[in-house]
Amino acid sequence: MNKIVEIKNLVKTYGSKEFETKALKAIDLDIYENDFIAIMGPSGSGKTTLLNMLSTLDKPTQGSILIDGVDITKINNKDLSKLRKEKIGFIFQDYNLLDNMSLEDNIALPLSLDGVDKKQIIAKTVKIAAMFGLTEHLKKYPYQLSGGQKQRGASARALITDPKIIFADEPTGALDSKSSRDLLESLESANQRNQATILMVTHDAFSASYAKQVYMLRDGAITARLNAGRDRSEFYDRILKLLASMGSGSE
Amino acid sequence: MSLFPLSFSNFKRSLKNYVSLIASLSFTIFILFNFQNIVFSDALDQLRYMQKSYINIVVQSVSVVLIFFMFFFVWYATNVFLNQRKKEIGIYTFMGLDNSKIGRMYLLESLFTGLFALMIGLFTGIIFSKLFMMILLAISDIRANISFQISLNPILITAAVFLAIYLLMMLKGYLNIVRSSVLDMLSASRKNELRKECGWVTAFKVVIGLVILLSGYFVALRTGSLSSMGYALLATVLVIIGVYLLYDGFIPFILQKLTANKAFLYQKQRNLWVNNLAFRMKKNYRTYAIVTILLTSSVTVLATSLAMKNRYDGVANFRETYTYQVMSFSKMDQAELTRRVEKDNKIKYQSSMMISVLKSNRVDTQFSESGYSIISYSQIKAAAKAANQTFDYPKLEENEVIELDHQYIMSFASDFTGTQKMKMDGQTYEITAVSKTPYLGSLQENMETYIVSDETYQRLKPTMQTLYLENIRIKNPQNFAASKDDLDPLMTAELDPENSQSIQYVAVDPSNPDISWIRIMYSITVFLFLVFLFASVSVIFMKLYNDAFDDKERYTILKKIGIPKKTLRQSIAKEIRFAYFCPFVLMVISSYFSVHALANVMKTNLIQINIYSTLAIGIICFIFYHISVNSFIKNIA
Repeated sequence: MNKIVEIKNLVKTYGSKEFETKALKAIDLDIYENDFIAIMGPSGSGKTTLLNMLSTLDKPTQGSILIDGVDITKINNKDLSKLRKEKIGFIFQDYNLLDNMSLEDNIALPLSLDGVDKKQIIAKTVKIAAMFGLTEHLKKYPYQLSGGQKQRGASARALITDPKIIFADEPTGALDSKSSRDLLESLESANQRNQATILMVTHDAFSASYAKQVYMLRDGAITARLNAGRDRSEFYDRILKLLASMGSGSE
Repeated sequence: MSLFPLSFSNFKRSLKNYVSLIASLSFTIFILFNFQNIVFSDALDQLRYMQKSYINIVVQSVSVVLIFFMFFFVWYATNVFLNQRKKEIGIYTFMGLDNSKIGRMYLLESLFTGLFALMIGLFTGIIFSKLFMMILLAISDIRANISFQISLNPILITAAVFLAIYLLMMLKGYLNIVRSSVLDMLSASRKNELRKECGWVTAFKVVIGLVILLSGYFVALRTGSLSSMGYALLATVLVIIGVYLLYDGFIPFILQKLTANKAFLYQKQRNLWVNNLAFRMKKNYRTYAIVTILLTSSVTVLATSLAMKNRYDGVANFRETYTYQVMSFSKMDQAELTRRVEKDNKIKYQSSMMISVLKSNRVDTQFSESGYSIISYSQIKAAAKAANQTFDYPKLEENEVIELDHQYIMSFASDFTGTQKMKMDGQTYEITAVSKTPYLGSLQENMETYIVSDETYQRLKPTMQTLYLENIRIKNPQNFAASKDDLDPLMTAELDPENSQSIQYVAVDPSNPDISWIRIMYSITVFLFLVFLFASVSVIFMKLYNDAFDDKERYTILKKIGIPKKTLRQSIAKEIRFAYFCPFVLMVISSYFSVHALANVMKTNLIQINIYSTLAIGIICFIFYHISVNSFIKNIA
């Protein structure tokens, strides 16, 4: 299987020398094609730091991150933005749809700005909207959509470029349980049917139970790893148990 | 907590955030003050004295345009302000303030802002009015006709007009706050930009807008003689309404259609900037309309000023050709005249002429004049050479003449365009050309003269009385009075055709006080052109400056999802280009019609002025466009 992301000895420290805070302590993590990984952990465990580093928003103090074979800590800004554009899809907690265009245009945006053939864009938009159950909402503006619809729209936008990997930062953080389930099912089917590779950061054990593996992050280090079994509710129980054993509850 | 200190501290904090609001309000005050200052300065007093009714029309229409401009500008600026403030002051609801208290807080804050802007506007206005006046005096080559004092009236009027408009808008904002819910307030900055309208309302606006605009253009084409001046007013009103409706109907309609056409939209950066334009149009259409009208007005105003200037120069030219013109019915001693003039002045050039005078009953032309005269081709040619004037008419045939005409400052009479023929002693001559070059100096303004071929002149001369002319131009025409004492003793009491020894002369004062008001008029119109032009581009600039803050969030999202900066920059550039060049293009079309109408009224060809001023505005728009792109990118960073 193809290795998409390879994190080696990743260290991130904040502050000056005497008052150093280690946000990440020597993280090693490999993500393979068609993985669906959830990263869990309490506040301050370094989840966001890790994701920022992976999404090229922040530079590590030590170590390397290889995305599709390219060390993103060593390339220049121009190549970095090319890599972001071509290989990474982003899903955020607060949707980040543009309020000045219809959902359809929002989804089509990454492709349309990339000079892709317009017929192909239109076809792909329709297809991916159907996958996220958004077909009847395509002409609407974000303010006419519910939170769940917006988040599914944002996910469709992230997936339309067929990125090598999708980084999802608390995608269900602002959603109710029904909307969360709809979104997670869509992501799950993107992972299973479209071979999408997903890295999701979440607080929520229920969301994490849709992943294939769950990593526990604590004080800047990976402390545990769980693999999904056949049954999701059983996996959910195991995640809850692990959280309880770590003493942080579902935080 | 008392409202006053809270409002004041809010105001102090928001001072930085609302620089553009205060700047724009101050700017309108600045403009209005400067104009009012001109109205109340001595310059316009002179103007009123000279051509009261004519100047009143100009002053009134310009005042109306400026107050219109201020009204919409303040409306726009306070609306932006209100929406930005609402979100922030909405939070106070959670602190237990009710809507009417928040409303009062808004009133207080707006009052501080308005008074602050008024202070800045008047202060800068007073400072720059002097600078403007000085520059304008330099432009129009006037030696201190306008005094530099600042009177109280323009300050009071400007403050009153501004405060009236501003208080109205404040009240509107207050009612808006009092009537809105907390939710409205918190989401205010996001709302207000979405355009949802019934299909038939849009269709109505599209059709009516186009009809009104086109009929405005049509009426402008019909404006010509003095009797059709009402058309000019009608055309102005129609074009203003038409332009508004165009931006409110037709253009958003087209933009909506473009965003719906995905094959068009999903190319280059269109998905971003066309969508943004379409989304914004409802909020921004007034701005675009104001800018278009201002730009059109500025071109029209400049064309007016240059048309006047052309006429003035033409007239001045007549006065500058010769300083002294001595006339007699017998030949004069040129050496004696020269000697006398050279006592106090140096002669630049001089010439002698013979003009033959005809009684009007021997001549038949389209217009009847009291007297006519003829002069030979070779005499004019020689005099023109001495005076360094161009004279490139081909040698005249026996039956050909050239008419010598002169400039009028204020005349709506059409130029001679009738049959190009005249009759003298029963014989028909063809008028091959009409020249407004002052070959005969200032005398040309008082005599109807034809240049005839040398043969014709020799043939007719014996039957006519001959007027001898000695023309002298001194080096420094301003010193014309010095030689008067030397010339006066030679002169007889009057020029009497019965007495061949009678001799008279005219001495020309080049400063020409009776038409100098044209120069003041010219400087004021140039001033207005600058004001309008500066106002227009500033309006766009400030709109974009504000938009950048609204857009900040959007561009942050775009950067987050990995859209390269280069793409964003291109999209921003295209959107800003539209903001500058859409009004520009509409201005080019509208100004063509307005200048055309003006050209008809003034009986001059103004197409060149139209092209040049358009080019100038184009260049300035281009420069501001680049500055805007850079500041926009800085603001969203």
